[in-house]
Amino acid sequence: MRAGNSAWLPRLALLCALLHAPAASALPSWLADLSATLSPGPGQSSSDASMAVQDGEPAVAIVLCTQTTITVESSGKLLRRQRSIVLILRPDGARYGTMQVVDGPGRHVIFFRGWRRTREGGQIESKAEDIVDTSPQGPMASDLHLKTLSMQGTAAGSFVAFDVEQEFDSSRWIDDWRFQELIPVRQAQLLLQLPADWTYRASWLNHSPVAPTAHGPGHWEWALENVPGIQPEGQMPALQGIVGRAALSISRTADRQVDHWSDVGSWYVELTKGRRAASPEIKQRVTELTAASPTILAKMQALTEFVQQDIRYFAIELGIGAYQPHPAAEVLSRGYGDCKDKVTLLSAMLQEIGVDSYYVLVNSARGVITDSSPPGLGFNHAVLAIRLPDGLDDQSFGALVRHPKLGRLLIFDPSNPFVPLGSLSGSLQDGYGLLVVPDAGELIQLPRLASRVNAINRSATMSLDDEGTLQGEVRENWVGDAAVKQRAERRSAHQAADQIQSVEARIAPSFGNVQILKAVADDLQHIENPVTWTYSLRAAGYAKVADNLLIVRPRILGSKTSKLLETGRQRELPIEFAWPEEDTDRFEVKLPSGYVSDFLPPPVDADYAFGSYHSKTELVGSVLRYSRVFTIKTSSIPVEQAENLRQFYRLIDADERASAVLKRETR
Amino acid sequence: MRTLLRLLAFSAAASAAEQSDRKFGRATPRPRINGSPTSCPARKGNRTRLLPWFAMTLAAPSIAGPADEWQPISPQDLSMTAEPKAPGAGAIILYRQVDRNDQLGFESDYVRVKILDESGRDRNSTVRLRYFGEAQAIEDIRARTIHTDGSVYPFDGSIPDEPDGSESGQARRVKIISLPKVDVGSIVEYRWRLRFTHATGISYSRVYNSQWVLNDNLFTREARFSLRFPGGFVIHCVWPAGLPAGTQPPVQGKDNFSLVTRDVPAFVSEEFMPPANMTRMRVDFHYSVERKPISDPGAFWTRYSRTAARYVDEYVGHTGAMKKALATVVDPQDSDETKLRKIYARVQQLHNDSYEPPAISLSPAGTFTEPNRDVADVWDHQHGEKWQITWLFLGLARAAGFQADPVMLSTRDRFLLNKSLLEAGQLNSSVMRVNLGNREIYADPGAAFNPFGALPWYETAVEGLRVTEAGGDWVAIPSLPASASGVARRAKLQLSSDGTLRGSVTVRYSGDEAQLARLKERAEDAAARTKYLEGELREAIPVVSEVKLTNSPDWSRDDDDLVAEYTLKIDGWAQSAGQRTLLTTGLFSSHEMGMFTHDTRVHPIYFWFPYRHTDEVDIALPADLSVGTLPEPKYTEFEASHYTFNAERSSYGLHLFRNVTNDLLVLQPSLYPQLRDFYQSIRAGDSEQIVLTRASTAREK
Repeated sequence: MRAGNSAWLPRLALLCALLHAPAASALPSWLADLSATLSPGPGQSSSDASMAVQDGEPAVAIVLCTQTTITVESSGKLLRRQRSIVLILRPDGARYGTMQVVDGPGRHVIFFRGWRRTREGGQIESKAEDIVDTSPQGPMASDLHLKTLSMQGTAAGSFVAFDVEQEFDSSRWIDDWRFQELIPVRQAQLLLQLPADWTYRASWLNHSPVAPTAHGPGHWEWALENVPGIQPEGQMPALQGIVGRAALSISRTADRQVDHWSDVGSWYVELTKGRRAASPEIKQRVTELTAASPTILAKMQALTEFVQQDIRYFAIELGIGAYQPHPAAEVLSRGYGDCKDKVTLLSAMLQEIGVDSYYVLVNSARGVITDSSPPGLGFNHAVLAIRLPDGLDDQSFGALVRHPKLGRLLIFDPSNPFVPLGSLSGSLQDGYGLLVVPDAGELIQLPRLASRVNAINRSATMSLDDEGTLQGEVRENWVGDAAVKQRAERRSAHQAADQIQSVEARIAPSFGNVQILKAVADDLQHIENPVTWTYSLRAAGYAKVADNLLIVRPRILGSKTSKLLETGRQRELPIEFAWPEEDTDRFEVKLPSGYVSDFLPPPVDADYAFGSYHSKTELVGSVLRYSRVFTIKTSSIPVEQAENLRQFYRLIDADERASAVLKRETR
Repeated sequence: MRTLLRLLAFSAAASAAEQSDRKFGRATPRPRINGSPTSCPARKGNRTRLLPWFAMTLAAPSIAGPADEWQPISPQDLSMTAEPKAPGAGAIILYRQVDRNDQLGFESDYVRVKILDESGRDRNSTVRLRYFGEAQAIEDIRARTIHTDGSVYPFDGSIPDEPDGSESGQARRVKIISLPKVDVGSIVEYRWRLRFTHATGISYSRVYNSQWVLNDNLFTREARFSLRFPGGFVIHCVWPAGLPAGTQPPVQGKDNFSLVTRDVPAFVSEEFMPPANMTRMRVDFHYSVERKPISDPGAFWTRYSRTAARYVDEYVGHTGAMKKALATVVDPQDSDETKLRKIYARVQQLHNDSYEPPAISLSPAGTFTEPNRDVADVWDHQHGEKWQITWLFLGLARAAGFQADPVMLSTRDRFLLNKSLLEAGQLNSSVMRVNLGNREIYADPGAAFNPFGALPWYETAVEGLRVTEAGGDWVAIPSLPASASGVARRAKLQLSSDGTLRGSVTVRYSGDEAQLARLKERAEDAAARTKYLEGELREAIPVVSEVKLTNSPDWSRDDDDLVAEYTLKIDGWAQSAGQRTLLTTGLFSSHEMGMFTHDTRVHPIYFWFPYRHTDEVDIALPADLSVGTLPEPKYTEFEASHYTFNAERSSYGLHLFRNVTNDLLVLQPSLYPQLRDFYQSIRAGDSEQIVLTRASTAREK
């Protein structure tokens, strides 16, 4: 992509200006002109179509032009208008005939309209009733609404245009100008118009800084051309963390700029002032909950468990205007809340037992907030930093941050009902969050827990008969995030039978013919313990008999390989893992008598920076033993390591499919 | 024909099985399709003269039924921690009541739920009440939470009301209630009134589309249903999927029906299950405004046939226009079959509004806005809905001198026809039966990609009513045999010494398999279709493979197979084991790998159509390998399905043959264990190993 030379601007300005045409039955003439001059149609060559080849595959659509205008009036009112024209190139591109805008207190949508013109000439303009209003963020927890406008009949060759204007109530403003999309953007333009006593500061993410063109006092313009689209890939980083965008901090010259994270922290301190005050009901509930707890740790655990388990969670994503939590007393009274509400209540309750704690604003998708992110918003989740009292042993706590002034801070997420105090879910590990302390704030890196903390440890003791039937017992220990996954599955199960079905589904790919004879799960309720599965199975025809040979696959069940990188294309983006992990398998198969080894799969030892795999097959007496350790050491792998990861998975695949050949002993 | 008979026999078998289950005390619900036990007799309402519906609504005083009041709660319900009849359930419905009043146009609903664990709490703390915004309103919502100590927390929050799902037009809406202070052990209960806001101008059958859904997604301990119906109608009720075990049929009163049911199992979803219309236990009520109530099914359908035949004649009987159109389609010298095929092909060229993006939005304003009042219009406008195109075919065929009649039927992607249910609306589609020489063919050219002489799967293996002025007759539309639809893969591959397989593959989709692929990809472009076909083959192979499409399949034809040609490479398919190399036999075995892996089954097993999947693989071996041991040939059968596998030496090296033929449509759940065993056998066969030996080893031997 490159900064534009503005040669196209007059045409773009003309095209986009025509979008201001008043609502009428006839379409603006710009769309007719545009289709005549630019429409390539599917399969035809044009500059748009050739530019729109993404990684060897034609793009489904292209943004011909997008123009964002931010205007601050002298009164301080801020208007943001976004106009865009999209050419649908392929049938799959029809989804770009839909636009969504967040509306609500502090960000009112005052104009929203769309147009569509087909290649054949059919044209429509949206009506007010075409806009569908929904509350995607939980009806009780937010006043934000999502306005969705879908233009019908957006077949390949169609042009779609949208024009949306919003009015914001803010004396200080941080705008996120996103100029890169999943589809290519041919022309992107940002216009900023400020009164004389206002100023701005721009920070660029995933793109080198672009200097604006000044068009007189308080009027700047940025222009970019030919911004490539981002081709989605499996396990890619969060899109918001990799797209090209610019953060604009806008404020009165006299006011303090949002130059540092401490400024954002101060803002949040102000926003949450008084919200953590303990009401008599909170005090009473704390007394009740901690009455039987002899130690400060036990009291903390009682309170965290209460807020985790007994205060119901509403899924919600924070957005501008939705950062303010409800008062703690209100959250307790109604028994539910979103993440910031739960954090607020827990903080208030901890305060009652003399434990300080602080808001930490994060983004649940790792990589969206980094140490190079400019100060601003972009958070969608809140957790708590609990200051550990002096003398409290922290040996068992993995989610610990050592702060130079505040000492040991334990990061805890009360919205996740399955992660115990001391641990942190994989999606939050290794990310960054804004620690909000009195009158200030700072960006901190969240802890990364050791691989072994998230594990599936499986063992099986089996026997094989002469006909190749395998029978025995399997025991699995699910630890950390792996256990969280199991518990979440349990929550989504309607009845006990669903649990067994999850085991059946898990092991089915490893056998041609298998029957689970019994299955029991332990400790699903106690989140501080691993989840333990014990099941017995019978697999007829597991070993194959060929003449005097018995062919047995030592890796009985479970798979660690992946087809993720077998796309036939070169990987473009880093690979994200849900969490680091270390899984072990130990299988023992008692063989029928009279067989000796003819061939055993060789051991596999693979070590990479991102992970390792070690497996071994041996015959000890009449017992075939297989063991392996699979380790992923990091939560993200750079794209340069993609080929190594692919080879890593192929090697595991070969090991998993390998067979031992046993020969009937001749006497 | 065999499959049709099996399908029809399914009803009787289901009924017998239910009797058997009752005898042995089993609670497994059984679907019941036909026969008098599934329906109540037609009931004539009071001879009260029917007032305009809106006038009744305005004039009638509101009445409060039991569902409008909180019911008392027993201490046992407050303290209970589990329901033995629903082991592991996170929540159960303690009590549910539905009082429907079609006299006044409303329904009062009441639900009381016991929360038994966290999963039940998470799922049942937020209630979503769905309704159709243009025809219904929800009002008088009350909700509350009761803790185990009896303390009550009324709901007093706001109730968001928003579109349900992503559909535009806002027809479907939902009201959302978030109940306060819900804990494990709590009882949550809520009640509301659903009011029907139709005034006039709507057909009665739409106003009175009454239904009691008996099995919820939660186990229901007790539920009571009532329906108050207006006079002047003939009312039928039917429970096509059966009633919960031990439940008595609805009881009729002077102007009402009622039903009580207990211990209703939770509704579960399973793979290969029949459509929800055939499995959800419910009671459907159907109103008729016939002057003379007809309770005899034979008489009912005879009269329907006469009425429908008159309507068909009005719609298609434009002989002049049809003859004029026909002259542009056929040649007088054409044979009868050629004529019919030409007519079929020509009407398929019309823009089909049922499949294509709405024509009106693709064309300049003013086009395609006129309704098709008859087949002459359909021909003139050159577009139509699926049924209109099929009826145009009828008009042209008759104009060409063919004896042709419409056959009205129920498509079995929605439900199975129940002739004892005197409701014409269940005949939701039509096909044409044409006499062609000494044979009869069925035709539905309005169904996209449906070839001449065939019907789409959902219109096969059903009974249909051939409508004639004489009163019509029921005809059995057969299912096509398994050989008519399938996927045939033919591979010629070379094995390398390192275990890599590479070569070419041809995949031939036929019959319904081809039609489904063409339907799915009909709106896509070449790049997307290539991706689809490559993905299909890649998914059929259980390991990583490199697949590249090398030809340009014909996506537009409906009368030929869809043929895709590929190059294929699989690294490490054969694995070295010392002096031997092991070759797994099931190269294209993924499809059956994940089928029927669960041990238990609630619903019948339902396949859309019979099919045959055949793989023939030739593998040339490298010079240093020769065939050592081959697995025994396999043949397994179950009911009308069978699996065949054979590996043999050939001049090419190895020849593998695999065939899975499934000639089943519906299977009772009691036969599920055998079906599962059958698929286990397939998987076991697919995992067999061929032992290849190195030349040196062979010499040693």
